[in-house]
Amino acid sequence: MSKWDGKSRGTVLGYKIFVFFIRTCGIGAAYFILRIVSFYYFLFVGKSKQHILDFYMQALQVSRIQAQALLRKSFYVFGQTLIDRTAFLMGREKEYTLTVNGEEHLLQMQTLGRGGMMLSAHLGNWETAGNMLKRRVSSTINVIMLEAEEANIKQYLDSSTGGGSHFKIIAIKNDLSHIIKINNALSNNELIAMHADRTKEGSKSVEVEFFGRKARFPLGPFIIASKFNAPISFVYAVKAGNRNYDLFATPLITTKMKPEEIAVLYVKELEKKVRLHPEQWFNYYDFYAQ
Amino acid sequence: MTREQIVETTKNFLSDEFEIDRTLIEGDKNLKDTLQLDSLDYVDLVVVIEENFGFKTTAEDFKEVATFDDFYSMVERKLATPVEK
Repeated sequence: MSKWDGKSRGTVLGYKIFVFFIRTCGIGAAYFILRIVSFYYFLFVGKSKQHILDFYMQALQVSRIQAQALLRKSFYVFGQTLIDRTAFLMGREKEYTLTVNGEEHLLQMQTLGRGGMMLSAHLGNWETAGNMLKRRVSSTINVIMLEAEEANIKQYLDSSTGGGSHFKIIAIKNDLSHIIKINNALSNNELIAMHADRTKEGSKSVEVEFFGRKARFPLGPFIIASKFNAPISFVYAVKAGNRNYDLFATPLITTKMKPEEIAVLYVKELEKKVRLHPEQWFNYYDFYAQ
Repeated sequence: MTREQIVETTKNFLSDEFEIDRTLIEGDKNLKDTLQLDSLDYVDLVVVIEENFGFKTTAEDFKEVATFDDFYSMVERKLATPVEK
């Protein structure tokens, strides 16, 4: 996969196996099985592996051996985040803890009364951490999502887990319905969470320097943040230990800025976080493909 | 606001915001095609509607909007319904 194709990987059988282990033996047992599964992926997944190895070696300037060690860890942590997400939906929320760095910025968002945009990335696991964040902030959190997950997986997770997510989902469509929903949510002082790191074929994008090379980022999240004039924070949630997540929120941008200017600040912050947690960079494709 | 005023206001803000010749804005023409709107342009459309007419739109408002005439009718309806403003 040279560019992101807009779909997530995984099969219903895979999810069934992990739901079985979580339910009968616990999360620790599921992590144990994951060690075997993730090692299999590490050995046999082809092109995606090369893209991320290249990314590690070129962006982070590490050797091939170090890059392979990072990738092996990355596949395992990625699997853990999927297990955590499933476990969370199964009602095992209390088995996880969340540390929030910059909570005051999110609370400030609420008090400003204009809603807020939380721009994130496919770094770590926003979904589980964000769900736990709902314990700390009273505003409704709306997550903007592409229908990236296969319908049969979504159906299986909804039916077998009880679907315990605390988010409201706003699906991105080709019409203007999601734009209106976002605008109305902001007017109701609700928070909007949106990933801003993956571009889709045919969508508007902006070129920004990322680890010394030009990469394309989707313009949509930055246009929405700029035009609707809501306070913005860049929010990243990484896995820190088996059952803990660290969530970072940057100080708010409250002044009117152009979409391209917001994108540059976003990428600068993203770069810092990827340097700190390279194994949690889950964009397994050629990120620099034009 | 009369329908004529709605038409005039709409032509003004659409020609400004989308840099389109106002003579191209005719009642029976398709709004999306004439303005060449993609989904992100709708952000601007939602903002200018709010700024110029003072109400918030819902997804339902746009369900039956295809032409500019449909758009003017939608605005008329919304302006005549104070509780939805």
